[in-house]
Amino acid sequence: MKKNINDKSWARWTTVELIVTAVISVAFGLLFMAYSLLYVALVPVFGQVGIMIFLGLYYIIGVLVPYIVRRPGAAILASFLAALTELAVGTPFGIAALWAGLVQGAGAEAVFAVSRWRNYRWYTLILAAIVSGIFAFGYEYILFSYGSLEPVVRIGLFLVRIPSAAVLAGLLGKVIGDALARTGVLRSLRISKR
Amino acid sequence: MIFRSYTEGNSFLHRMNPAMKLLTLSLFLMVPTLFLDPATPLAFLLLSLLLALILGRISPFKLLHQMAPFFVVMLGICVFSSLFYGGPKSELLLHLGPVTVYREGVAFGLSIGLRFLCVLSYSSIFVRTTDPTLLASSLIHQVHLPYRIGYTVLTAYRFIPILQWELSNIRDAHKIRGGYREGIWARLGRIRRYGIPLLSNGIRRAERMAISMDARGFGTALKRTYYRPTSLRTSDVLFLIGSVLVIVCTLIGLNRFGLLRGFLAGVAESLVEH
Amino acid sequence: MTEFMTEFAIEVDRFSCRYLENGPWVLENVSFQIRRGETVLLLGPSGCGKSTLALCLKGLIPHTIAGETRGKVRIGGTSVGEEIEISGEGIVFQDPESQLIMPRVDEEVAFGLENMAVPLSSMDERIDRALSKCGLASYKKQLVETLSTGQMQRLALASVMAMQPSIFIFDEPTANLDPEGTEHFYQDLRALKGSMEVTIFLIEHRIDMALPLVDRVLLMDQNGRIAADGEPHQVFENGPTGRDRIWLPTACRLTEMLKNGGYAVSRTPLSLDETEALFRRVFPRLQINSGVSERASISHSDPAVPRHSSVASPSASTDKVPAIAVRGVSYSYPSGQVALDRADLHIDEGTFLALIGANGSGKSTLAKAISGLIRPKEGQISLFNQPANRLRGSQFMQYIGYVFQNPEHQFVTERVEDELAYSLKRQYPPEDLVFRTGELLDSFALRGFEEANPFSLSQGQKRRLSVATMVALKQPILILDEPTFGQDPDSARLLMQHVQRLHKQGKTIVLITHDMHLVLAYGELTAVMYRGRVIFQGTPDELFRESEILVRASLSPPFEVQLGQRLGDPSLFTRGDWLERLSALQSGLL
Repeated sequence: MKKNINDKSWARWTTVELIVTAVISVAFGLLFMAYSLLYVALVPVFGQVGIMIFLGLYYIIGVLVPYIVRRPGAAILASFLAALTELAVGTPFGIAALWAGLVQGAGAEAVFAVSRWRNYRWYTLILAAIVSGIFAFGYEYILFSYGSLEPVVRIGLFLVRIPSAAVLAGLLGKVIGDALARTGVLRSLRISKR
Repeated sequence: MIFRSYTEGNSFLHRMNPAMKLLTLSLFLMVPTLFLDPATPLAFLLLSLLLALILGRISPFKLLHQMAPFFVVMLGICVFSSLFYGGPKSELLLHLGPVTVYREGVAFGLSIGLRFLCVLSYSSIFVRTTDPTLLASSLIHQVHLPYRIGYTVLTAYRFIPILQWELSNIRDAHKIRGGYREGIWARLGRIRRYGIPLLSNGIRRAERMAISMDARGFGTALKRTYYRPTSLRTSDVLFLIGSVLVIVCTLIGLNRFGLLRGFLAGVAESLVEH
Repeated sequence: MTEFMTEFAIEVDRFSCRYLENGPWVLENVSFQIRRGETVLLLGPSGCGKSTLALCLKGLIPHTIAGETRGKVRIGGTSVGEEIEISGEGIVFQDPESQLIMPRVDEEVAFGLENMAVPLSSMDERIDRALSKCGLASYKKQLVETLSTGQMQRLALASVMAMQPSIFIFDEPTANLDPEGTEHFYQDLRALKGSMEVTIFLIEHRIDMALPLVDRVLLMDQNGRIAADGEPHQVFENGPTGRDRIWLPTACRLTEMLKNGGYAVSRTPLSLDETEALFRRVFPRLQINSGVSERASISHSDPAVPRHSSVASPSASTDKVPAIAVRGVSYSYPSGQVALDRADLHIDEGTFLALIGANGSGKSTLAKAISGLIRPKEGQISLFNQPANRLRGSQFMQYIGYVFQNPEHQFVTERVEDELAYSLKRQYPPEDLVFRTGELLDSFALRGFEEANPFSLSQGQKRRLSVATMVALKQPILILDEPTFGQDPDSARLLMQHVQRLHKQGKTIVLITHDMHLVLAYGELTAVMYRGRVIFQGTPDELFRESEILVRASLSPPFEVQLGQRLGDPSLFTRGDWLERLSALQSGLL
């Protein structure tokens, strides 16, 4: 049974889509490593809660890739591969990052699933980013035992990431996706077929 | 720049099925998160060093050395968690203006910090002993991930050195155009400007790679063979069972010494009472 | 191996293809047939549709890449439709690195076999056989990322070979390789042809190298139509005209000049041997390994050829300002690999220098050191007598424009106009910008593209834009890193014309290249690098006489130089007056 690009099956990924997902995920995985260093360096300035204002960027991969590729599973796969890249180049969060990636990705995926992977407008992207952040909060809750922190702090850790996700992942994801589309390099991907 | 976290070797861990390894090490990693005392993660940390030495032939010193740069991060986590501890408190240790530190807080802080070190340690062990191709293979064969996604994982590995190289080229190319500034904001701006060339070049390469794969018949046939298949062996299963046993014993032991705290501590106590 | 029952391995029947719905046809009504066992060469300008044709032959259009097709392509009698032919055809592409997907060499070769469901027990044997045919047997367990570009391309070939197709399609396989890599690849190609009956469809620019292997030539024109189809002698004897003249092999060009000079030539030679034989027949007074060279030195020495020191030490005797002086510079990568080993280089102002050497010899590293991108561990560099270690990063920009190999790496904005302005505004006030931008747009044929996104331009345009941004501040030195990389001779020539114009304006040009044709055509001076040292500095003519240096640096001289070598004087054909001189020799005037 042979398939080709003219196959209308909306669930079947083409090889191009798979490898493009890989390369974008790796690029961001590398970026996240560098970003993490910056992040850690700024903690004394912003405090552990304040620093979360920068946290949103990590969720961008679950927005940008689905925005470009528009296939089921894009958010989870991309987040997983980005985390795998981080693991491979030595992020201190190692395997925990891997599971974190899956969890974050699942959050974004859930949002896209609701529209059966058809709606990629700006508000969907922002929502996906936010839900990503919420799922990530749940994961961190267990990993870092947020349950034992002062309630005020707990709420802070939750709330600050919401606008961060919306802007640094949702909006920025759309901006980057559109900028890439303008270079013409996304011609054969579903983002270009409105 | 050659990216190589995987160091070849011939230890039990090297030969172990990667997917199973991932699962087992994740268990070791996750269990300490269920408890709130510092002794548990410490015990698991020591366990990891033991594991690395005995089954991985990795010197604990090497492992600690690799983790050294992140001790600062650990310290930061300890301090933060201590300061904002919200659980049951009894003994006040420090009172400087708005800052209050309790004994329980410090214990909690240490606990979280040590957890972080555990994550670091087990992750290092995993990365050092796992061949990427075999990891992808075991994801395909043991986890039953569709093989096309498994190979996508491999291409991700291929891209890491390629993109690192591209990034340094882009950085040089931008430098020669002037306007290179130091500082946080400059760095952030650079991230934005390097992103587009990096991604667009990368996507073009990705297309070419996909073409090369399809040209060699990727994804067309129903039946497929594998050059380096991985299988689940008895030793892998035994390792899993053994690990669970070790974990349980450690927990019981800790409980014996009255060191266990946290919401599962109560469960453990009641179990032991039987 | 898949056996074909029909006579024709490939049949293309009134085939057309386009990417965009209602867009222009990239290929139009193309028809030809290729017999089993034939080796065919496809020539054509950049963008004419050659690569598209290759993809269609394999069925990758429409399988992987969206496109609309009309007409038929038949491989071994079966129509290539919407399905991919796995084992019948193998295809090797231009960019080696993007074809390799696995971490290890043997895994890469195994990939195709896995897709063909070859049983595990047979894999090793097939892998070993393919690797040894491509000279990679000792690299079996090595990581792909440690291979050189040339080796990567051989691996791509091995990986296809292992699948034992009966048709091989090559889409500009040596465009990204250095001379050594190209040489090895052609070795593999020759071996391939010799060992089994395969049909080869080769798309290439290096006509001189490819011709000896080829039974038939197809010439494609700008519009994606077949302009000529026949035996090589047939196609070239009648001479392509106009713009297609670029595809004339050097042998034919020389023969044509002979004919125009009144000499009778019965059959146009194509290979080096044939050409040598022809010249010896026409000029019997040529003696082996002597002849022209001795007498040439007595006769008028061409004043147009500058005489520089041909030894690898800097000449301090001229009164010209040294634009770039490099003394004893060493540099190693963080990984420990030595990139520069006490390199010396001396470039006078206004010189056009071609910097050549194999991949990894240190050319780019030296250029980066000169540009201040890396600081050498030891040694001194000075630009116009200004020591480089006292210059701050931004000051280098005043002296040097550096055009990177991949023009995209240098783009920082989203509009061509902004791109130029970005460079200009470092020096000129905002009021001047419009005027100066306009100047650059006109000089580099980019008018009309002010609003365009730099990434969406054609290859040639991107390069010109890249050069434009690098001369915007009227820097006296321009370094170009492989500017004609992967381009066809035509677009390469266009770019070089721009560069030559800049040279005539007095700029010092450093051209890093593999392309010996460029060296011959444009290089005033050459410097050869080998393992981080400059082992030769002198004119191209002097270089071609140093056969030891050529061998050590793995450089293969262009056709006319090799012919000259065989006839006794390597630089015989590099001067325009070779016909007069040979005639003079023949009639005994020398």
